[in-house]
Amino acid sequence: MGEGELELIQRALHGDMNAWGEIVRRYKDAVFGIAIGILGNPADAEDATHDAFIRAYEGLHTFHLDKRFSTWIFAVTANVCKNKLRRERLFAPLKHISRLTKGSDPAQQLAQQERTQLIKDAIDQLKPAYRMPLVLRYYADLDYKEIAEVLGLPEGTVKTRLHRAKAELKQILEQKGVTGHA
Amino acid sequence: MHEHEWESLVKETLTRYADAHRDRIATLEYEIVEELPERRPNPHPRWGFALAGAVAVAAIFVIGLWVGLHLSVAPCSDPDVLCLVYPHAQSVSVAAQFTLWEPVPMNGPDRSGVWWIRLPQEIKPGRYEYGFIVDGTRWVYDPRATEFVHTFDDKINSVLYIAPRGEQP
Repeated sequence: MGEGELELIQRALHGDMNAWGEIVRRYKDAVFGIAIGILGNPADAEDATHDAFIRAYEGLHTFHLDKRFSTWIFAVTANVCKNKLRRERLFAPLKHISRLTKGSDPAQQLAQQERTQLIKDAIDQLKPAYRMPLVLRYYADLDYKEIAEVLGLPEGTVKTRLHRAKAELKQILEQKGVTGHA
Repeated sequence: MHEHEWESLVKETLTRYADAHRDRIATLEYEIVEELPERRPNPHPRWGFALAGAVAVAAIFVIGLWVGLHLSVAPCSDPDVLCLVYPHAQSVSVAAQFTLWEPVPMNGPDRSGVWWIRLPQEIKPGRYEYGFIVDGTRWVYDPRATEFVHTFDDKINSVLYIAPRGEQP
């Protein structure tokens, strides 16, 4: 748990909104990154990020203060995303990526954009059951044990799903001719 | 493509994509703080009371455990109690939307191998999905439920409805 984080959580439990605001500020990028990876859509990810922090605040008394807050808030996020997917049957892959990082060479920038788009499309094609551990592993840098905790799955299942996710993704990318070179 | 190259590509893609849309959450903390005054955490214990409460709960738990093991039968006819027959389990927990999918240990087993838990009073009326976790790993649906949901990660959740106070479910 980060410096001062426990104190912030305790203050939030006592109704200090600014303390919770600081928690939101610290975790919003990570939560948004996970949500957008799982949902594949910026607008839905924005809603999910908002909902995750509201739900987390409402259920803050269920958080065990001796555990890692990041794992807990990621679990809340994953559940919000799962419910959203379930509710809306939202699997539509994203069609465009805008405002990518600028590069000095326009041709190189275009090639990079195209490759990023292909990989993003491929990730969106995965089943949510595979996409979720993939995002938690490669975006949030969680290990198997933490992913298992976040998703409420046995560690063995997480390993299997990640293995299958990678295999499927590789297959899709190879079919599209994506290589590891920029 | 080598493994590390492939992993880097995935990581880079997810990061770049999130970065490209990060301005959507630029003011999120202010929006949340504005929205929250109406939604205080519930319950909202003072730590002194919480400690006293915890001691009382622990004492009740120990007595209840002794009674549960030696005398009682799980109160499964009570509509506010969830039950699961699993005589050989070492532990059974319930995880539900109303626990934010955090596992909450169940009481038991009783003499017949039944595990049970009473639903907290403070659950708001509504529809909730839930399931049982046996021995910390196995997801088990509630065979007594009347509605089920097949989840995207190939699990089956049971569904319960909490009626407003004073109304029959």
